[in-house]
Amino acid sequence: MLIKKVTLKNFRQYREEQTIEFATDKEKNVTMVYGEMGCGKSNLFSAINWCLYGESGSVETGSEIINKAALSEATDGDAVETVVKVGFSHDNRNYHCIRTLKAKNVCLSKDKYGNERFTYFPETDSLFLGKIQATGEVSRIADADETINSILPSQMRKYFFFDGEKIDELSKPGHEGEVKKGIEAVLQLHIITRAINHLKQVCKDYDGALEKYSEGELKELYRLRSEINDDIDDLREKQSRLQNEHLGAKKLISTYDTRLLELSEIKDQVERRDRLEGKLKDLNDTSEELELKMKKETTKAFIVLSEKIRKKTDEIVSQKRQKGEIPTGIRETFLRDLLEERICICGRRIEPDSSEETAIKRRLSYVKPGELENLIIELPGKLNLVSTEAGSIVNSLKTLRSEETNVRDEIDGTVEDLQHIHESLKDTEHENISNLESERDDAMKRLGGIEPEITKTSDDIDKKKRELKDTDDKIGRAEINEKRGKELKRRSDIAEKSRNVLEKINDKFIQEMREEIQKYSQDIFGSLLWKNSQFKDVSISDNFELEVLDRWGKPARRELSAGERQCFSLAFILAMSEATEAEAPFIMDTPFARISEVPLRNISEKLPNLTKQLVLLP
Amino acid sequence: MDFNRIGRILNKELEDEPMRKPISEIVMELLKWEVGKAEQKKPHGARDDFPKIIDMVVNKHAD
Repeated sequence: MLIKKVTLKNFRQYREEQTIEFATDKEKNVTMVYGEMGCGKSNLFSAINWCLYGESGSVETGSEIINKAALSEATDGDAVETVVKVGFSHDNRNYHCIRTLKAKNVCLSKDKYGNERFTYFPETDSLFLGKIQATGEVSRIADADETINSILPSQMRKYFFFDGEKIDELSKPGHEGEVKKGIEAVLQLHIITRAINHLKQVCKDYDGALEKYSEGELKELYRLRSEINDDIDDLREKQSRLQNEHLGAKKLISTYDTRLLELSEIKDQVERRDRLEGKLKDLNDTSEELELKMKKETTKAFIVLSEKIRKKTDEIVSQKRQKGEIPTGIRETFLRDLLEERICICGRRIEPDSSEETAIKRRLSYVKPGELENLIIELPGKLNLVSTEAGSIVNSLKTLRSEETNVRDEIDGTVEDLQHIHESLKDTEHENISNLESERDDAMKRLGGIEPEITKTSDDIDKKKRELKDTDDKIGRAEINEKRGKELKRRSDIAEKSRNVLEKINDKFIQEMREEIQKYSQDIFGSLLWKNSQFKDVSISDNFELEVLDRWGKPARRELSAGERQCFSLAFILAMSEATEAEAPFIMDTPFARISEVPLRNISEKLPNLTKQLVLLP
Repeated sequence: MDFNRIGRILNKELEDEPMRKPISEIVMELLKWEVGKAEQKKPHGARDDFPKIIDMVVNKHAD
């Protein structure tokens, strides 16, 4: 930033609009504003600060900065406008900055002599920043504060715009904190510190998120899936074995039946048994079907159980309808049509304010809008349907129960018949028949034992298949989670490493800059002092302690005179500016007040070459 | 902010780091974000924006 021009109006003692131009030439970069004490040098310094940063530094803001003469001449209700314009260039671009404060002069009371007492209320405090185009046109920059801060940060500027009398504080014993603050501000170390702190928070957030993604979960699920698959294989093997056994038993029974059939004296009995067994199978199937049907009907049992509630609802609805609180089926549109046409369906006229009109209006007030109205109208019908349905369910259950009882009786009868045939064949005197029947019976018992086992094994397989599906679903989710977890872990690792690197950068950056500032401070301080000065070296410790060393290498800061301290502080500020290569003007209010002749001459010779632009307000 | 100096220190620090490119890019982007926020005088929002910056850079260097 190089300041080209400052215009003031009604700022402190600057009454009418006044403009001061500044030297920006590379060769002639010094502007000196000289005047008697109280002529407005410090206020010019304040005006630049106020215009660019909204704070003047040495004087109060608000009504304090408004020119008093302008205020006293303003009558009740008049607005007084204070304006400071700063024209500056940066990076070969020209800017125009205007800050305006408008305050109204309002009489609130009178003193005991009747004189009016005025109070000034700030109305607007506005900032305008424009970029001057090559054509001369000014285009407004939306984020004025932001742009100014990007050119010369607010924290940094106090080391470029400063009061010469106060700078020696930087080198006073016990002011090490000021040096540290200065280096931090000019180097903008808070940026790195903030990035480190923010990154720490983000790393912590990543750690929290990573806790959700357990790495062992997927491994355990894979193990479980393998276990379930093994179980299914075992069960299938068992089922296959049982089915073979079942087939073998059936084949054996068939062989016995063939052999028994070959014996003519029992042929009829064997054939009958064959038919009865077929019948028993059909009856068992029918019994199962009936049981299923009954189960299905039982699920609707709530309708039967709610019969009491239905009756109560029906009762309430009927009572309400009788009282006319709910429509009997007359729709809202019908009632409205009656009121509009003023003729009843019986042909009678409906007079205004008549009892008929009142009755229709009362009924209309009960009519509920839209769907609710339809629902209320349809409610009795629906309640009747529920009642009919409940009756039908009860009847159906009764029929099914009766059918089931009949089938059960028939099964019992058939089993009994079969038992008779079996006993008859077993007890026959014919040894061959008796033996065959006994062996057949054993095979039948084996068959009877195998069948439920086959059913159970089949159920077990289905159960395991469901478990497998659940596990597969869990694996799918866990795989997605693990993928996310891995991605998150990668981000977390990178964030952690970035944080570590930032911490190292911070240390290295500070170290490098400290060394550079120390070197420049030493060079500049040496060039500003007189030749036979006893102070030779400058050091800045790791703790940012600024020290001057005498020719014997001993700390000598306490021995510095006030003027030497000013030179020392100035050298330090210039060194910071040099080290950061900041493009900023040096504006010094009341400079060199305590500096003796020789160093003053040195400063006058060297300072213009050490700054981009120098503005002195002595 | 002296980004040239920071870039130089960063390259030296990450000389042997396999993830040098993404880390270096992330550090620079985060610092630029902080500079922007400092200029706006609004230091908040890092908790939302930092992960976005990290995501963006990590995705860019995914291959």
